[in-house]
Amino acid sequence: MPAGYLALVLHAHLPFVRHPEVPERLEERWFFEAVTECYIPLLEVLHGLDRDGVPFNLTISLSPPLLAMLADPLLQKRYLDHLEAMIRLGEAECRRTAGDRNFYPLAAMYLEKLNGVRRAYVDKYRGDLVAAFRKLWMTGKVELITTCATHGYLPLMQTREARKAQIGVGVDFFTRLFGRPPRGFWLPECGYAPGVEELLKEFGIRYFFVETHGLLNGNPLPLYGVFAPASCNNGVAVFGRDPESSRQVWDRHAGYPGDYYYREFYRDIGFDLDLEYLRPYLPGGVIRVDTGFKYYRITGPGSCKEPYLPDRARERAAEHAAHFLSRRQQQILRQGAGMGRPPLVVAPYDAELFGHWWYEGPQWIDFLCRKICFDQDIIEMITPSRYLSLYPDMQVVEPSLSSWGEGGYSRVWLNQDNDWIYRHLHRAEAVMVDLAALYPEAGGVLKRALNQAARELLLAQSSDWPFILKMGTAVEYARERLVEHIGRFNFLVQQLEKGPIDEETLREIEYRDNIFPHLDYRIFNRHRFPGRVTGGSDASLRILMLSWEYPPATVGGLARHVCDLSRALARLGDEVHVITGPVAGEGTYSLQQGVHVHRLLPGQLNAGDFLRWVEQFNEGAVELTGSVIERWGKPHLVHAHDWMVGAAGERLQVEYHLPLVATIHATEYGRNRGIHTALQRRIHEQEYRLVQEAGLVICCSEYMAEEISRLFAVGREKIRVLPNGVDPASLLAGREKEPDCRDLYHREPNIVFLGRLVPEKGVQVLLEAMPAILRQVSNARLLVAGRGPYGDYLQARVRELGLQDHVRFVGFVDDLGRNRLLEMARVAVFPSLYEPFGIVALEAMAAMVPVVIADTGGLAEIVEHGVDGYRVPAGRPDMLAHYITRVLLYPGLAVEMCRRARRKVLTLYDWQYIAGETRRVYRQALDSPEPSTEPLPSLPARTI
Amino acid sequence: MELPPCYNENRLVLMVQEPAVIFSYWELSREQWESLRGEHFLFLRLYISASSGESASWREISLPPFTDNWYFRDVLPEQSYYAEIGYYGPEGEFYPLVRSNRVTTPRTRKVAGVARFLKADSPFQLTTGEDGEGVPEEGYSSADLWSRS
Repeated sequence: MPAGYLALVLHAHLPFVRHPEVPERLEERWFFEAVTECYIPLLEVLHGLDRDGVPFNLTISLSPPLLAMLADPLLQKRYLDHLEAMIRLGEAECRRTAGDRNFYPLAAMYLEKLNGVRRAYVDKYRGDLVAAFRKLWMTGKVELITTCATHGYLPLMQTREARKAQIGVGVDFFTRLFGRPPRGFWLPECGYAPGVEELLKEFGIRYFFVETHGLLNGNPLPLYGVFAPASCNNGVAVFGRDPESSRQVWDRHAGYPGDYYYREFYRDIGFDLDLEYLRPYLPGGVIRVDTGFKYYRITGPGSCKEPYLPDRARERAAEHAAHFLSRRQQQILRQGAGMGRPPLVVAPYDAELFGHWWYEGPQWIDFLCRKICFDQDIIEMITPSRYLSLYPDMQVVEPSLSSWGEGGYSRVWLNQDNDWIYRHLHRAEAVMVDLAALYPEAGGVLKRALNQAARELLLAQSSDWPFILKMGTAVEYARERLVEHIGRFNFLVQQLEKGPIDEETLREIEYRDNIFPHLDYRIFNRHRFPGRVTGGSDASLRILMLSWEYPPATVGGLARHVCDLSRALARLGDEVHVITGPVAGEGTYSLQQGVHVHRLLPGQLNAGDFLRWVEQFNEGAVELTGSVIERWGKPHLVHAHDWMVGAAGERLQVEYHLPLVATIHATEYGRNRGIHTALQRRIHEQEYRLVQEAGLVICCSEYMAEEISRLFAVGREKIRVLPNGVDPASLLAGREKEPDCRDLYHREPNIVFLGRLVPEKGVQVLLEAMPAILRQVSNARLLVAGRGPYGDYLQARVRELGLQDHVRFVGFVDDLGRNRLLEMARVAVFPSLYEPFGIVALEAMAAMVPVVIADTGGLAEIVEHGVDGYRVPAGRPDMLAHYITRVLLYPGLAVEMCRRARRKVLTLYDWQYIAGETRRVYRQALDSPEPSTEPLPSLPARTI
Repeated sequence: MELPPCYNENRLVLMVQEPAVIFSYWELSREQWESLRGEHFLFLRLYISASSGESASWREISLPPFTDNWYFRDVLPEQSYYAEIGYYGPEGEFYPLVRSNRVTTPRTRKVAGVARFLKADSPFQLTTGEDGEGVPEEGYSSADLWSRS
């Protein structure tokens, strides 16, 4: 067994530079040069090692844009044309330098190399370098992985969906090309942001890499530092970059590539020779560029350069390989002591360093692999996958935000040279996510336009553009590309929104930006992972749903919630079995819109005492589940809604080893603002048990999550927040016409409140605000809908304030009444002092009524202040009056808010979306280890 | 082709550049500007929010005309921030027009903690030592190499 391992990782990437619209484009040379100088030499080295039976191991990351270019027939042809032009230049150089003792041998060397590249490209690889890499992968010595679709820098993206698309499209594209999915993933620029591992896992990724401090500043500091992979909370492995081996290669002063015997990159005949002579080989015949004919060695810091000596440089490459190896040996012997396992050194580099910048780089790799495999036995080369199979135990660490760029964070991709791009990119992200929600199943030309918009967004997100803008070379090109892709995106969006789609222009855009032919725009949909080749987490689930009520039996909002959720899950392809109470007119089993509903018999629930009744219900539910399992098979998990079914959930979890997920819709403590009676205490204890026993807990707002965490002493990481959904169709009944925000211009200045009349709903605050509102809008009128114990007080307060002419109590309203009121409203106000969620505010938003809400509880989480409504500190009549007045006085402002609010409800509070998110929670619960069997600690006394 | 100078939307966005620097950009819709009628000076306020949910105004910038972005260069690591753009009413009350997303700056130090292992045959626990302040490693990347050109 070796004392330690080295994982050499090469990341190959170039931006997508393909310009079919012109015969020649300077930037395509980036690709051509890299093929000649980096990719073919690397392939030759690796195939040579394999041929010679060297048991090396190497990991290569191939970016999707690079793969797309390697596989593209147009670029393949153009590359060959370019290569042949370079060979002609080589022949001209041999003639020009004939007789020169120093330069003729170099010209001849370049010519021979170019002919060799041509032979390899044409005869050996037949133009298909993707196949050449695939062949290496088949040897088992090279592991191929990939990266984001267009090398988008993840930490600066705004939405989870944009990150998801970058990762998912990349994995999908790679898998299609190679016929098998990647196990590892290279984060562009090592850019890690917390949460990325969740998305990687969704796409079947087993490991990724971070910069050194991404692990060392993780929580907690890993025992083995970067010398062993760690595990994220979800089990995805994370490898940290070793700083020492990085520095030896990268460091601008001490690094190997700066050796004085190595070839000088910055002396090229493209800049040194006469323009007339070079003309046939330059782009457009006028632009001086690097030709690759470089005749000098680095020599020293000054501008005086000596001729290049290839044999001497080759010796240096061998010496540097030996040096690198000896340092790794020392490092491993030093680190290995006390680790209890062989340490791993992870050394990732940009593949383009080797051959292009560091001309001797491919030779160095060749020497290094041979030396490691034949000259010593302290170190073995390894791939991350093999290391994980040998040492599957990993310490759990939460990595920290990081990148391998200057400064270690995002300074390179966000600074005064490039910060302007993000207002465009972020907006495009948000629009794309909304479009994917608004067009769940587009077809025909509409689908093509959406797919192309997604392509344009991805191309605009490439980390290369902000990088180039910062570096100051080729700035115009980067700017042009950004403007084109965002411009095309905006153009397509405008056509999608206003129609019709101009097919000819669409075709032209498709022709220009043809990357990712299989792209499906629905990857931007918040809850879908469509068209995936890799799999696992997509399989449908069998879910057992426990709820004491289910429509048509509805006492509270619970039945509606469980019903909407179950149906949406069924639409996603899951098999949902609801275990619930009896209802007149329905048998014990029925299939309702794809949901299997199993009901207890009325005879099973005959107790007069409430708690005894609950016991009966739970006993019956467990029994009924037994027969459901017999008939339908064992479910994947149990989902219990609220404490009343908690006991059944717990028993099923233990008896059948099923993961338990619990939704806590409200707490007894919250409803009563404390625990005051023996019954309340019993319920409170039941809630505590359920929260403790469940693998994961779902609630409707961050506010509730805090409350649950505090009351029941559970870690916040166990709780997931999923909002309640709204069905916009239910808001139409009783209205004269469909919601249209332009109607706000014509409506009376009606202020509407809907809710129970209890102090915590805050109507009294609104009354106090009325005089200030009336001073600016004298004909404003407040309509208060609802009833409750506080009604009398409020009516008296209206009289005291002299508001009788401006406030009307309309009493209790049903759904129709609510819809009619919303149709009259210029603004809806929810001034609550306490509010776990606030579904009415969402209903108002869905009905396109501007909302002013109190900044409290879960209610506050619904509204983005100044964007889709206003949020006012609770209990502040002056502030409330200010914002209500703004909305009444400036309908234009309100119209924009209503548009945004409506879109939010349709996309974020859509049951289909919530069901998708619920599935994600199920997946996490299924991945969690078995619950412990230790007895529960007793309920913390302070909450009672 | 040109990009639109604005999208006629209200928005205020924070981005973490590095542990000590937050970048913000914003836009106010035409209707929003009309409702202001040039009557108010606008201020950009950065808030720091504690884990308890309480937040405090951390920096306030009087916005010069025609600015649409700002770098806060002295923020703290491991903190949550959000921002508002608004104006002062006659009684000195601050009225935010728009509020931003929340961002969290990264940690810049090493933290000790109980080591938890996954997939181990016999779970064992070890504690990492108190290493004190860690210094982030210099980034060595293509960015540095390319900058030589």
